[in-house]
Amino acid sequence: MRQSRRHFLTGLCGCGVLCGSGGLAWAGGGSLPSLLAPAYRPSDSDERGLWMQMEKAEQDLRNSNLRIHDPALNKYLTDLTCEIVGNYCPDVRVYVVRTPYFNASMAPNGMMQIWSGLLLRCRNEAQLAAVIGHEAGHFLRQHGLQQFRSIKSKTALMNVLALPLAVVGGSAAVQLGQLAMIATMFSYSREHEREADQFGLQLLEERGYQPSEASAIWRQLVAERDASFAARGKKTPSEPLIFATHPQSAERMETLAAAAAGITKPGRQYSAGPDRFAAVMKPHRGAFLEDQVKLNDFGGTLYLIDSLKDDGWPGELGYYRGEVYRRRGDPGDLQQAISHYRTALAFPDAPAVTHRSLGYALIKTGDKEAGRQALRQYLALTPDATDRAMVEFSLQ
Amino acid sequence: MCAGVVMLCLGTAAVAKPGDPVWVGFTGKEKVAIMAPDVEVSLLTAGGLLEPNQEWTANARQQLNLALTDGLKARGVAIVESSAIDASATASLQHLHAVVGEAALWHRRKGVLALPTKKDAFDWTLGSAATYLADTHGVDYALFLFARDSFSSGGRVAMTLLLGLPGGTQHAFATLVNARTGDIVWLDANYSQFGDIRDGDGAHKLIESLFKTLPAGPGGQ
Repeated sequence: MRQSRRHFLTGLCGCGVLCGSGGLAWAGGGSLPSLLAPAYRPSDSDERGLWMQMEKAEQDLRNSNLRIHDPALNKYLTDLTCEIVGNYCPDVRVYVVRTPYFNASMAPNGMMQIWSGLLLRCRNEAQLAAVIGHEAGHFLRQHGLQQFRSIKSKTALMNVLALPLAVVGGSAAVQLGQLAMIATMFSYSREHEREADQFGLQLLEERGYQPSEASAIWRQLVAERDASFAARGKKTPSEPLIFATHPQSAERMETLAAAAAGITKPGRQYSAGPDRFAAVMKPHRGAFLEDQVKLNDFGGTLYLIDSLKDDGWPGELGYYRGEVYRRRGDPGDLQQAISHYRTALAFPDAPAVTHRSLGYALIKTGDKEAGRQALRQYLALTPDATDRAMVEFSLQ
Repeated sequence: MCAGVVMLCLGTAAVAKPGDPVWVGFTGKEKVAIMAPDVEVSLLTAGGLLEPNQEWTANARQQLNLALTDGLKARGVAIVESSAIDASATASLQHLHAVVGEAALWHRRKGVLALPTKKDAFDWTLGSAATYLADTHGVDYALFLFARDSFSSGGRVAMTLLLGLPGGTQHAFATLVNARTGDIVWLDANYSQFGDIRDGDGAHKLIESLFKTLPAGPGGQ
């Protein structure tokens, strides 16, 4: 019982931007108010219990070794969140988590998680602001609590329904009834996603960010997913509708784009956000990309690298492009990798490890002297290399 | 709203027997740290969902902490109170204890749950993480308590009467851990459909039933 409840809570808390689907159906474009006053504390017994659970989860997250502690990054995200949620600033706490997937989440008590894979994919501050606004929507519209109460009443109904069904149709009918009930739980969550999308878009517009950037994130995700499947020689499967905890991204992209057009005020200036975004991300993007490369998602990662190529880090991107080929290791990939490493090394921002990868790749293809030369170059550029002994062994 | 309103009565089931040869080392003369009890008390809703209750949990935690303190003091054991121990620094250790303790309980049973590689050996340990307690508080042992309790809502009571679905249940286990090695040297558990750990009387009853096998003081080795 403890086990299943824990999974349930994980689901509640983890339902971030990836949950639910598009088809925004908000009528008339009227603005959604926050349901909470600043400094809100729950008074109902079930909500207090929910917050107690979340505080425990937050304690774990605080101590988690997946957390990224870099003060500059944390300060930037906290400040940005404060700018977006305004008076609710003290009620929301931001945690950056090192996970190479695109997601963010908001717990009912204001604990917000932003994953590194999402930061890697945001091209500007407006896109990041769209995500934060969306999560603020979950919090200020009390979606976690509503979901909890909905599940509570539906599980009760499930038991009541199960009784006559069991008499009439046997156990298969019971299972079917429960399946339908579980599906409506997910659809309830998709409603919340639409509402959070609308809430986020309102905030984006109010803060002067370009509202169309919200749909731009989804456009990129759809294309990345297509590229990922195409590289494996597969057609992108349609996302399952009935149990969609993953978005119908294409649909969501279109509805967000249409809604953005509707919310944009003629004559008002919008921007993609200040340049500070790129400066804060710069020290981290190598590590984030390194995690992405290790997913061995050949098509998806190459698509992502291509989409980042205008952001001014050709050497670093070139190195990771080479790594993607080296790790796949199909016939001809090693030659491709060597070519990308060499292209990367023409730029001053190529990391020193490019020489190491180039060196080993060359030795593997039989060009031992050029390979050794590259390894020596790596050691010269990296006096405190932790793998010095291993590389020196290769040089013998 | 009472755990006693159930159709199935399981009663209590102690896991260890007094004098069990696996309980080694502890004589009752050593210094023991009382860890903050890991407690959660929930409402069991009509649909079988556990709804954690903040007030019940806070009460139970306080009462169980008191009962642990009283229980050890009555056995003449020197203690370090849980309030003196940094909760944040020991959060991971508490999680580890919950997982290891639960596993140890399951696999001590006979039949399919018994681990063939363990046979009669009892060598469960929290490992070196426990040494924090010895280093920081100078204790020889640490006493952990894990407790989960639930109480049926009105709707759940109806479900129980109509459909025979189970009502609220209490599940608790306590362990004594060697603070220098992390080894679990004593463990006992209690499963019950009765009792209420939210009040002092119920909390003391639970701890006394767990402490029956504790190798210290009256009833000890």
